[in-house]
Amino acid sequence: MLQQSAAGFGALAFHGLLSQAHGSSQPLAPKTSLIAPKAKRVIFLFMHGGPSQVDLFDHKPELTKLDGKPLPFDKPRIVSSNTGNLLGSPFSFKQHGQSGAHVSELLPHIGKIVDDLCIVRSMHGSNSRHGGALLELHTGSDTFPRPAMGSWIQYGLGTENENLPGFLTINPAMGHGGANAWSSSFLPAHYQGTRIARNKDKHLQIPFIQREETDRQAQRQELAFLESMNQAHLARVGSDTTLEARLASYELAFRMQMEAPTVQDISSETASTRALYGLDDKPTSQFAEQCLLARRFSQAGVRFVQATHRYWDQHSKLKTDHTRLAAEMDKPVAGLITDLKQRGLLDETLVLWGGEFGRTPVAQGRDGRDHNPHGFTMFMAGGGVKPGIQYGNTDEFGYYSVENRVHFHDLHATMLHLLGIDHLQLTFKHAGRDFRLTDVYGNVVHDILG
Amino acid sequence: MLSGRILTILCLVSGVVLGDQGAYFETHVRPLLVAHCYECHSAEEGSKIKGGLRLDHREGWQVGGDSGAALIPGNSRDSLLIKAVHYRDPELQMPPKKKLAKADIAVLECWISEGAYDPRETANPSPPPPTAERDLETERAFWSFQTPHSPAIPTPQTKEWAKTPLDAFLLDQWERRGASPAPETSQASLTRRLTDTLTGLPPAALDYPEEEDRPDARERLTDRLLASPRYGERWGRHWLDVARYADSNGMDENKAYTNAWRYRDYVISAFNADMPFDQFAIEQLAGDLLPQSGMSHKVATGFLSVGPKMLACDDPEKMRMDIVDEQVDTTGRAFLGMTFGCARCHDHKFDPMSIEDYYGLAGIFKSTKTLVNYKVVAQWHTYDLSPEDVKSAHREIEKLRKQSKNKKLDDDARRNAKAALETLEAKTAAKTLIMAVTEDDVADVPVHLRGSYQTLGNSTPRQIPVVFQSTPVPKPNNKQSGRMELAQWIASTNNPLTARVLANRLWRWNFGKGVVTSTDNFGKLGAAPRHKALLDHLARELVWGDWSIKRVQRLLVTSARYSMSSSGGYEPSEVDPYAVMPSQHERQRLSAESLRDALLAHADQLDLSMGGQLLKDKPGAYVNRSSLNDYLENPRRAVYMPIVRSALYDAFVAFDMADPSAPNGDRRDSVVAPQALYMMNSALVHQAADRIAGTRPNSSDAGVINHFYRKLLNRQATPNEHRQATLFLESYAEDDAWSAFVRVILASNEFLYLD
Repeated sequence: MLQQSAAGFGALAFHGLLSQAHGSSQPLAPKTSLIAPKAKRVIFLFMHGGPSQVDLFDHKPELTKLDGKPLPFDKPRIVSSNTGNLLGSPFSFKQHGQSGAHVSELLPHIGKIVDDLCIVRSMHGSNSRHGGALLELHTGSDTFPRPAMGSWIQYGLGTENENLPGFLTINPAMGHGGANAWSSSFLPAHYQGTRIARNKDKHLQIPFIQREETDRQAQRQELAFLESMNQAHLARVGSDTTLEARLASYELAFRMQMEAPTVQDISSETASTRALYGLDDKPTSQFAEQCLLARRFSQAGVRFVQATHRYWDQHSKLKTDHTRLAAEMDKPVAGLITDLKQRGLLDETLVLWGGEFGRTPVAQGRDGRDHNPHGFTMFMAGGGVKPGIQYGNTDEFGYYSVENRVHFHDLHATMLHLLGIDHLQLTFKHAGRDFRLTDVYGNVVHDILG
Repeated sequence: MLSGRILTILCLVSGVVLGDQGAYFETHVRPLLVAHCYECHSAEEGSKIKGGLRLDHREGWQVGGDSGAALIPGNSRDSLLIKAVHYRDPELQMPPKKKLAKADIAVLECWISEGAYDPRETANPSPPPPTAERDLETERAFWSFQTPHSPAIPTPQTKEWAKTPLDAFLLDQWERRGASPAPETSQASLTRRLTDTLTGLPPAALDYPEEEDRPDARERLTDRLLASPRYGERWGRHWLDVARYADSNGMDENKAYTNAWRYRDYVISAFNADMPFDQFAIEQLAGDLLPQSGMSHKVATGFLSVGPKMLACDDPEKMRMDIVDEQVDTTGRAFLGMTFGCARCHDHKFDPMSIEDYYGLAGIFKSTKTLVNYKVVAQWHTYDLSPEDVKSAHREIEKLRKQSKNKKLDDDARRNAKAALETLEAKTAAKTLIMAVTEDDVADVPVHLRGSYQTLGNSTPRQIPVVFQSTPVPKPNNKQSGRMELAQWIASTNNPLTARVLANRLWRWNFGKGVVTSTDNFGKLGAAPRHKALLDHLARELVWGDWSIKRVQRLLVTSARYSMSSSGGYEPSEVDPYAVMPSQHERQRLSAESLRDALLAHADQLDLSMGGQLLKDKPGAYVNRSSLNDYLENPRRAVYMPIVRSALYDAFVAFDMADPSAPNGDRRDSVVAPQALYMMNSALVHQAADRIAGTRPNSSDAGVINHFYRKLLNRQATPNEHRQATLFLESYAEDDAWSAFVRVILASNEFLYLD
């Protein structure tokens, strides 16, 4: 059983953070687990807005056939907008690879790597609005703010590289809950996610990681002087673990600002890697940079890296906008997975792709689809999941998840399992009871484990 | 849904000879129920009966479970069982793991349509386990549910140390452990400590005359600080942590709570005016129901409004009950240290709080209007308390606005309307809008089984939880929500918790750790009091002093305990860290707000004007931009910086600001690398250091070094420190050595901590 460290970091020796020792009192120290871990790290490619399963992965010939006809069964009791009749996908599908997975023409690059993917077509959530669904996906609850999954994972596993934050989120959504999606909430602050946003020069940077104007030599002198002041103070007041920890925290910060900029700097990547992600091409360059950064941080030992692509919310103009968004996302995502595989990192890195919900097979207006949390597709790759499978099914039109259903809670339980954590055991005492990422739910989806 | 005609065909397909219902049940229905339903819906050994529903005998489905009868013989379409197996309703999908095959569903439909013949009369039924009678007397024996008595003040053996009764309580405990108190700290560090405790500012920012030679210097300084408006800003902030105050709803659409600041200002002025806490509690929970309810009373109920909430939820009933839940939970934790929220889905697992108790409280808040509608996006309730002339001017403005856009009018008329509109807008004051609650339709609420409004149980009267009814408690009536009765009970001296929870928080906010370390949980999973008599004495002091916070505050800071050094005393062992009180001061780091205000104050930039709204957004506007961090550049005190729940200040988060989504009376005190990075690289620290360096006197290096030590650390530099500083200044690689010197002092432990 993992022990909580609610006593406050101030009360703990900072050495925990610096040493590789195992122990429950050292919040960021790597921890051993009871289940043999398959994955060490997670990269979550979040498709904010809700990509349409029936236009990307969930091929529904019946939907095409009955285009314009009424849905022959009831719509959900609670919907976010009024919708009309069935709307066939404007895109064609083809089977790919050994696995024969259907993938839409919008995703030619992902189509080529389907044999590495575990496509879960039976996802479902409980909330039909972006804010609620986004929080449910990121924190396991749409009821009140709770720790993000990246925070839980750090809490469960500790850090692999003490010179970098353990949970990074690149260019996340500021709306729809914003910081709640990377907040440690009631978990201690060292499990907080760090937001990487574009700075004034449009570079993606960890906040306060460096100051352009600062001369390194001068800063070293400042830190040496600071240390002598702090040592003298410590000698005066007597031993104090908190004060000692703060001394160490400056050393750590200095090492972070040496290491992080190197990791952040993508200029050392080869031309072929740049091409693989589409870094220098117009539609793909922005998300390619995020995916490449995600790989670099992950490779350097960051437990949970999230890269967000937006905004897949096509209540109208489904055809044009899904086409544009897919073109921005397809190559970088396929590039990332291919790159991880080539480097031998895919086995230990769980890649997760998906949005906060999918979209309805019925039309909203003339050419749009409404939010649909009742059945949609996410995919995983690497990290111990079965490659080359399609798991679960929606009904014949792609509205409801009906076979081998996977709720967000089950996804969380499975992710934790792959990382070597029993989701029932990963608890933290707060406000009178034990909390889990999976609340009181969640089943590990054993069928998709490799 | 399948029509009757198709059903008949399916029945034929499955080979049923109508009339042979017994055989049909045995060959088709029973195996299905056994295979797919019995695991959770039968009394078989080892299985749990989920949702109270049994499908292992006829009466089981006739009586049904929490949601009522499971099926209606002859009416398959309206039968719950059939709805569930069709998976059309996301809240009701059975079996949960996998939808039944179409043929299986058809069998069930056929069976029910034909009358649901079921031969299973008894199917080894076992009676449900009797609900255990609640033993209220045993439950009430728990320490925090007992009314605090007035413990006798002990007489410790050491005579000269204790200055106040609370010192006597502490010394008594230490003497029993063979421990003695730490020596007194230096005058300089005491002054720093005191000004931060009471105002959140460094001594240099207040510029009071030094009176260290006077014997009553500490009392005089205490009185000055308590009388300073800076006191309310510091102590109001503590309460705002408990009230989970913020300026946006933060959970989804993140709209600006443009008028929440009035509640924040109300809290600050309540602390400055030393409003008795019982009054403070009543106003926040039911100010709008007071006999002569004025503007500030209504503003006070912003406490119930400013919480985090979803405003875009397609399920209005869920939205509503989530808001009610947030209010029940916050009220419980803020005033009583009770985690009522745990009883939303089932009886509290640890504390004597049943699900009926929970919905008794939920009824009070459901009878209270927080939102005016439950649309997407919902709108919260506001009072318009503008003077009549302002109201009518705004009505006129609206009229002119419509005219200026009215296509039916000619150009001239539109132009005239537009001109009049602009003139009137320019001279009309903004509306006085108040974000606060009011009454709604009054009704009791049924128990929501498993927390869901779709599975309702018995109605529960609105009332104070039963465990607290050992003394007479006010009872809600049918005319009002019951908030007033709840508030009166919370503020009453009969209540065992309110005074204790407050006394404990006052201790925490002075000394860094509560007597009960779990400040917001006085239940069974909370920590035991480290010194119960001390806590009860303080709680009684609060009540005797008519709930004056400043009076108890003065007792705390003029105690011998307050002036102890942070070393040289007894520290409880690691194994049993909370059993007793330490006999030395617990060193505290500057809070996020104190640090930022100190930087600005030392740089002579801090603007001490009070109150008002900095958030520029229109009421209800979306506040999702990432430039919100720019507010930190505003020179006002940190307590006035808008708190946007979805975009908290990176620097404040790093320095442990309270998460504004939940009540928090016990901020963490963490040491994390981002704090160091902030001190090394942030623009705010660099700018402040440059400015502070720029204010140095025109004197020798030694004089300047001394000046900065006095200004920033409240003491003289030692000869050794002079030597070190001189070495640093001479060898520094860049030009601005004084800025660097100041930066190092600002980053030092001595500056960041109060010894």
